[in-house]
Amino acid sequence: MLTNNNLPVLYAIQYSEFDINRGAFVYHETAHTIFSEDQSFQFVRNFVCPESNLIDKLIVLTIQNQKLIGCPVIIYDQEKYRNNRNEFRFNACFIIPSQADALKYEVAVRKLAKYLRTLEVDSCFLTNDALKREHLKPALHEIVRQINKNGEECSVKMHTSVFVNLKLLERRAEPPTVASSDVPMFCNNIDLAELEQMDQMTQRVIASIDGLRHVNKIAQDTDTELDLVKAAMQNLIYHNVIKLVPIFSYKNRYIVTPKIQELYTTRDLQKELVFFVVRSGAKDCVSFYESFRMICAFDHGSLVKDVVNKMKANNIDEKKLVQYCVLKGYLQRVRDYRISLDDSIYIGNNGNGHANGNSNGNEQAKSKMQTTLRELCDGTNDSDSLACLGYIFNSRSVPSARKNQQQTTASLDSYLTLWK
Amino acid sequence: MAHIELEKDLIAILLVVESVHDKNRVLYKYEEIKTYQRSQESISFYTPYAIVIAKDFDPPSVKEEDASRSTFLNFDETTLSILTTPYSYGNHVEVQVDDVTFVGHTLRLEGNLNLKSFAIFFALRAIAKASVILSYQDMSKRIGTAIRCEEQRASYLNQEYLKLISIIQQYEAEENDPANCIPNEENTRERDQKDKKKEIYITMAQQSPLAATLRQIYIDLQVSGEINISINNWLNVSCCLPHRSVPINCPLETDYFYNVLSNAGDYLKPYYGLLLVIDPLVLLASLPMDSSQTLATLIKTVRSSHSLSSLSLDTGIQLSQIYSLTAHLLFWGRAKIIYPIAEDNIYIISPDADLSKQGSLSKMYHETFQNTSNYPTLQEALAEYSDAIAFHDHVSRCETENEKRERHQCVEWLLRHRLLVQVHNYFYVLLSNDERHNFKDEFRKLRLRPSRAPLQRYQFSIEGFGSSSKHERFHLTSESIDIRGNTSSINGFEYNMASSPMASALSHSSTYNSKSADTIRTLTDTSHEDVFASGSVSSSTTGISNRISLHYLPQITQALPDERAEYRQRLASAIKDAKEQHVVDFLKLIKYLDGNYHLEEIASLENITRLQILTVLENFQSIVVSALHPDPNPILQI
Repeated sequence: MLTNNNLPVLYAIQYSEFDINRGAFVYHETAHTIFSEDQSFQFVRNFVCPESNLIDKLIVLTIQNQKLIGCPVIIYDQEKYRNNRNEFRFNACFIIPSQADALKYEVAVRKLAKYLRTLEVDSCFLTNDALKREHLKPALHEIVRQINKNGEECSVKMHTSVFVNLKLLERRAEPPTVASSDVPMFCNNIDLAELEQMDQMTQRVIASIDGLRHVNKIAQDTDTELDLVKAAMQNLIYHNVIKLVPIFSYKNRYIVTPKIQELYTTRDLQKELVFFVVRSGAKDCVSFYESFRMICAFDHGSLVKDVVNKMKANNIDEKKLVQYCVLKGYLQRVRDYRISLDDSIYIGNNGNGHANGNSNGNEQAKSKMQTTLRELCDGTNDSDSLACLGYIFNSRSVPSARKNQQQTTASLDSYLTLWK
Repeated sequence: MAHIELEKDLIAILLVVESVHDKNRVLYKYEEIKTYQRSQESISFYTPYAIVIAKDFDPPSVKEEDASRSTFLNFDETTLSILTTPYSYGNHVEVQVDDVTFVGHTLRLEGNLNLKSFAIFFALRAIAKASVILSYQDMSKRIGTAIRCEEQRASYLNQEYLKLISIIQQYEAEENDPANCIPNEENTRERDQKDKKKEIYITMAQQSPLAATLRQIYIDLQVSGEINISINNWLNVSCCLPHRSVPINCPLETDYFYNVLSNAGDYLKPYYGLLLVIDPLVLLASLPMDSSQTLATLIKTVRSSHSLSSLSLDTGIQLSQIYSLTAHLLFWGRAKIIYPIAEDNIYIISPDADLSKQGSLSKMYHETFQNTSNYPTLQEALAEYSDAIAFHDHVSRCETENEKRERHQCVEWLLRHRLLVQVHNYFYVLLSNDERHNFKDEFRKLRLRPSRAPLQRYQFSIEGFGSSSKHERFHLTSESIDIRGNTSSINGFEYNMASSPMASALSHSSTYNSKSADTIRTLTDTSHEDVFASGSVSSSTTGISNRISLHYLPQITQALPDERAEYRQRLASAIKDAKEQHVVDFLKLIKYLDGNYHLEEIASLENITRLQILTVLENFQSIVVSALHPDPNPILQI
């Protein structure tokens, strides 16, 4: 990653104005930066207090390792600025490390410009020298100090009763879509005090998150609309409260990921693992040696039950171990995808059924079910999502429908299983 | 989707000059001219019961796709020239306005009568990643340098400048002509101007070769992300955008793989192999005239079953040069790094492979392998690698040479399209009694503090045995081991008797306490046949060095000079019953057993066979854990 954590969040704020005699000049800056040097400022002058066509646009400039973000403002007033070409131009720029994401600061820069504009329009805050000297300078210093201190927000008194509240918005990835077969799992300890501030929907489903129940089951258990549960989960993922893991089953297969090396070398991770995977009710924690051996025993081919039988680890709760390792990325689920083979076989099969004249209602329903199953088995659905739709494959890989409990005839359909 | 963003990151290309007399101005601009038609918005009925999924805010990528393009359209020429005003010469320039980023590289022209500096600017969508911006800046620099060379050789830029400026002046003259200025409705006039402006850029491209070249660059970049043009029919410029040459199903972040590609030399290993992504003959034909001869030699000799070091031997090219040629091929997306295809390789289906029957890969597979009888569909071909078994286990089915070759081709194809991933065996030395992995005390503090003080017996119940009677015997066992440890003569005797360390331990303890033999047996089972571990843990840490056998300690100290003394002692006690030769071999390998090296890597580094390594490690199963996973080196994923 390009972002370096040692750099400050905000180097300085540079407040500049346009003067008819001097042109654009820096009125005040909280710290000396590349942009304050005369030579550089000559270049950026055009951007800091630009022509009217760039007004209210976010401008980002990079010189060497510093970035300047500004949002130029022009206020037109024929009375007030009679001596200044009927307008007043200013810009309060943030100067940040060049590696930082400018979009994160956009809202704050725009908001600060808006505050200053309002103050100027209402109480001549920026044109009155005494006010500006007394309040603007300390306020800018305080903004920089607070933002650097907590890394994201500040609340500073600017003038009389005007408080400037700014927040840097971290750009986060869009949460993935939640499938019915996904299992939500907490990735951090959550504070129950925060629970009351959550929305109703979240409060309702959050207690059902245990790392084993899948979304469909949570919706059933809490008697909630499935889509609402999914939306709530998506929201929780966005806020980094939960992550999605696959359903646990003793028939699942897993493979170790290269991340296991991290576990081998980091003691804190080992401790977390050992404390987590202990079977509830056990008096002592498990040894790391045993847990690590067990994790490494997942070799793409072995089922969970095989590993459990092989290891015979007394105190390790295999459910916890597997789900924890998947959450942490030490293990990766190997999913099975059923793929129906050549479609022509099916057409022939279907034709026979009709020719025999046995096509009563039940038969038809079954063949319809098989048609849809065929369409589902095109390599895009794994067995979990098929199971959520009501199709279960038994060990002989003959599909049967859960809803339709009748004995399934051994179908001629051939399916291919791909593990990936 | 990621690839949509990639295709749309370029909005326009600009040529900007700063003349001696005038201000900065835009000479030529090319953007894709599209007529935007707003798709009819579906009529939505208002209902108070509709579910609206609340979002905190729309991330920039979700905004209307053409938003930045329309922002760009609203900039007039003056604004553009202000934005592209050079603030330093010979440097990368990056200016962002709202959601458009202008990137380029300004070059100063010295001793020129008309022009002070010039630059080629690319207007990009602001969501472009840092590495993408950097590659556009590099491209601007390359093209700019070529133009500057031509300017110095044949004052190319000056001629073009005069041509272009005269077109602009002609246009401006027409504009200001009072006869032309019919009192019209303001709106239509503006549109007229815009159309006119567009027209003059078309005229420019017809009259000026430079403008035509720039237009060609824009089109090439949009289509393939690569350019191969000649400036003034003299200088060849070819470069590519790595984020476009690397296929879209590469799982790595753009910035990350750009970084990897730029420092490919650090990631390449001599035992990696090279797999060409396109046909070698096509590749050879596409090389420019002045391309390096060694590259052609390399392309001709490369085989997917050869490693880079063996390629170096075959062709007589130095390995370092092979590395840089490989990096070059990678950068252009013409090759892929793999582990050479060998019979021992284990492949699995890549977790993000597209298995769908309707997918484009399925069709491509079908087209490529029309004549094969073995695997008519992609899915059937992949089914072969669905279980993680070694490559040679498939062989039995392939008898003829022909079929074998076919299978080889099939694997190459699947690897090329990133449908297969190779997994390797990695090894970890792990002592069950390593103090660093002992969290019992902390656990007890956490769990038992409120109820009672930790009982004495918990110290011994480390492997999780509940009953106290076992503990006493357990303790006894450890005593017996200690006794034996001090008498070195017995040790030597035992080596002849017992082949494996476990067996010797069992036999020995049973002689001392026959009653506890069963207990020990269960004990060994639970603790994964590692009786030494339990034994030494139960002995107190202070006395450890005195009471256990450490006759391999000097060798261990030699092999692991940086380890802590205590760890070395525990290791010595863990392997004390192994044969001397085994221990020597093992200690030779121990530095690789930290999960950073896979079996094949160790074999190539130590120049021994895989089988030899496996035989050595077999004797130390209790302290070596093996894991099967893909090689994490990012260059393999590009």
